[in-house]
Amino acid sequence: MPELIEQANDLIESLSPYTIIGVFVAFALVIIGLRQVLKKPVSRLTAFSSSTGSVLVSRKALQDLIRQACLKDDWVEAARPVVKIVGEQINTNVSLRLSKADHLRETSERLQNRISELLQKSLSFEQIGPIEIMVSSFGKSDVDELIATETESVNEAAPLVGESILEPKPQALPSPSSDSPAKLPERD
Amino acid sequence: MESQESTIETGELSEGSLGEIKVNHTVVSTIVKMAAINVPGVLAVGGNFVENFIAQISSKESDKGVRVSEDEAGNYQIEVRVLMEYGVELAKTAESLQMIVAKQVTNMTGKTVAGVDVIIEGVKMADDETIEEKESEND
Repeated sequence: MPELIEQANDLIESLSPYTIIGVFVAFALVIIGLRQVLKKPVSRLTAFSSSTGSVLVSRKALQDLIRQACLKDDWVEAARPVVKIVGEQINTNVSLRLSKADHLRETSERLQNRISELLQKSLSFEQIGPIEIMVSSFGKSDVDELIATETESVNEAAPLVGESILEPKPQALPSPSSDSPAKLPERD
Repeated sequence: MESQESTIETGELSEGSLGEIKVNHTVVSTIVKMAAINVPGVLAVGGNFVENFIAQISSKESDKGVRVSEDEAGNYQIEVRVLMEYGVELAKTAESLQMIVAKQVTNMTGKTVAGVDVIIEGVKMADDETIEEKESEND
């Protein structure tokens, strides 16, 4: 056994750095190739099948569709939908950035209805699972307004205490990276 | 069923007294692609990034997003991957795409189409700039 280790050491020492890099690159390429070959097929959902053939919708297409539907809304600045296909059911989770915090509930409910209608009407999907809307952040303009409001209230409450107290505290805002995003109950 | 991966794969069109006429599957896929693009609501024909890349390097540009094979009876079995326009009824558009493709292939090759499988790979706005502008403004 020690002889084998010695031999392996000698072999590695005899190799040039370029050879070692080449071996690593080849190994990485083999791994990437194997992943491509062995990876699971893209999940697709059958919209309908008939004698003329079947119509399938990819998960990406569903995500595109939901994203576009969300971005059509005036209050939505960004949307990141995640669609999971479980059997023949679609489970949707949409992460949103709204321009203002005022219309959170209305916008979220409106989007839930819109997504549900879209999937039913456009693709004739019957088994629509929960549509979870997660408001993860608010737009820059709304944050600026909140900073201004908060600064004013701080000025009124504690005048001339010091410069630092007048500075807005980012953690007091509904920051984009908030740990507890506003989440609405799941839709049945 | 045979795949079109082999470039010499051909479908027999007819056998007359003057000789055989054969249609290569690449030609059929070009017909499919042209017919599909003309269907209202279909923005583009194409597979995913990897498939498109393979199609590019294999110089089989016309096959991109279309797969043609033949069943035991010699009828064409077609698979087409498309990008559709946001706002159209996807199911109806896919149905009309099936019919138009089948009709066009049958008209041009004289062979029956057993089935056209449509895979909706993506949905885009016809003018996707609006959404992109909205996102870039917000970033």
